[in-house]
Amino acid sequence: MTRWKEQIDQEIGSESKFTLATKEKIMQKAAAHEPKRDWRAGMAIAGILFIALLLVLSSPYGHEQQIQPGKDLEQVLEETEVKEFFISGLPFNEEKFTAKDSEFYIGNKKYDKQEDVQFIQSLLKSVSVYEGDEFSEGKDILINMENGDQLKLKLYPYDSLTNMGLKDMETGLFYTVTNDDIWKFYFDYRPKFVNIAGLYILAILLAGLKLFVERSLLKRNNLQKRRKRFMNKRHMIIMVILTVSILCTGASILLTGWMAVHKGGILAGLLLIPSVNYAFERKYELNPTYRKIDLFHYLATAGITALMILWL
Amino acid sequence: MMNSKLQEAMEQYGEYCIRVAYLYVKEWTAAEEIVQDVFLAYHFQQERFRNDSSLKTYLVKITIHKSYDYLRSWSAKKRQFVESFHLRTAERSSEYLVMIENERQILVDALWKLPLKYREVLILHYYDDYKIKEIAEIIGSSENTVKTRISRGRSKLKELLGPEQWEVLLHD
Repeated sequence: MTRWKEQIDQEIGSESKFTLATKEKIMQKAAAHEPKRDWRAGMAIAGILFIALLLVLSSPYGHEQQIQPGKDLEQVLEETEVKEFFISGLPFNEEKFTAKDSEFYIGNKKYDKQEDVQFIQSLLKSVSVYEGDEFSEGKDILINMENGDQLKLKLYPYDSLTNMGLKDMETGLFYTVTNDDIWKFYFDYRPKFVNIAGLYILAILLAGLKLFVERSLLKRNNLQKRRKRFMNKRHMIIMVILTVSILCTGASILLTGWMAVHKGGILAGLLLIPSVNYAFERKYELNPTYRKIDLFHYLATAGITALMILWL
Repeated sequence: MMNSKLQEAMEQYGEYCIRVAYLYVKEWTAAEEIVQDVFLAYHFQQERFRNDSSLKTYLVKITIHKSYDYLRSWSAKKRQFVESFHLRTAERSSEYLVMIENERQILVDALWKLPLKYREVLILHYYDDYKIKEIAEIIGSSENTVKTRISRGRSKLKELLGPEQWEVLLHD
């Protein structure tokens, strides 16, 4: 090996080629050119802040509904009629009320057809106050009345298919409903989730397509798969914390129903991950082609995850 | 602080980088410009150097990228064309033969006759003493590709040098 080196050095000359003049030229240029600020990194950070703001605004804290105190269930039913109602598809949580008056919330289903409205109207006509609080699992239902009033009710299965328990969230009063058609409520008004098996197959196909496109992009650009996905330790820690916290929050909401979540919030949360990653890769100037492939990877992953969640 | 780092890097690796650049571009003026760009890039983007590899490897990587940029440039292509034209004319003269005899660059000339993809791996492996894995990382190819290129490059070089010169290279 050293023979090669010796011979090459001998042939191209052993005298110093990196002269003092070259060094001085470099030092002069280094002193003359101040590093330029990269405005695009600033734009990326501004984008992240905007998404974070969107996340906060779309959370329940940014969308707290107006409560009209002073009216109990019976009073509202005497004054007006049901216009439409929403049933939350999230798991029941005794402490929280997750039905919202919009289908943009995860699992929230709107019912405004005449037959649905008449059905719920007929159920509510037969309520009577109940002294007790032994109800357990149930459903959250938000009812919009014709005059703009809202009823927030927790509906509970009772001792038979003709009885149902009910709690008015405004007043905290318990009621019972006796009606021969109550069974319809249990069977016809379940959250209508899409075909989960079909959705899984679609997600697997899309994930495969994503992998194929990534590999093709690497091959086309004559690049190898990166051994280190992160630019440095700080990048890795922030990405892991961000991803784990977003996934855990999402999973805990879907499993426990402790919060109603706007679909925009989910989307913003998922977009936050590629944005932060892109900002880091820009800051540390990763090869632009790798950066594009990474952006594709994260956006495609976010898209597939969003498809899985937002379709609920 | 920044300048002292730059000076230190230049002291340690300046000579080395200019020689690597020369072996790529075959011209000292261009090699000097390349090496200037290399150290300026290092100076202005020092946060990009994350100690994942040695500073030497990092600077060699930049040198290679800058050399590629130069070889792709219009001025390099123009120079190659003019050089080949002059070469064909000069080959006929006896003065040229005398000049060649005086400035014999047997191994370097043979290396320059190789396609860049073979020349590059041979320089990095035999001149710069990089291992296969390191070369793969530097040029962004797989280890198998590097091994194949080294093997083919050696065969081609052997043909160009002839058995005598080749034997000399193999013995320390």
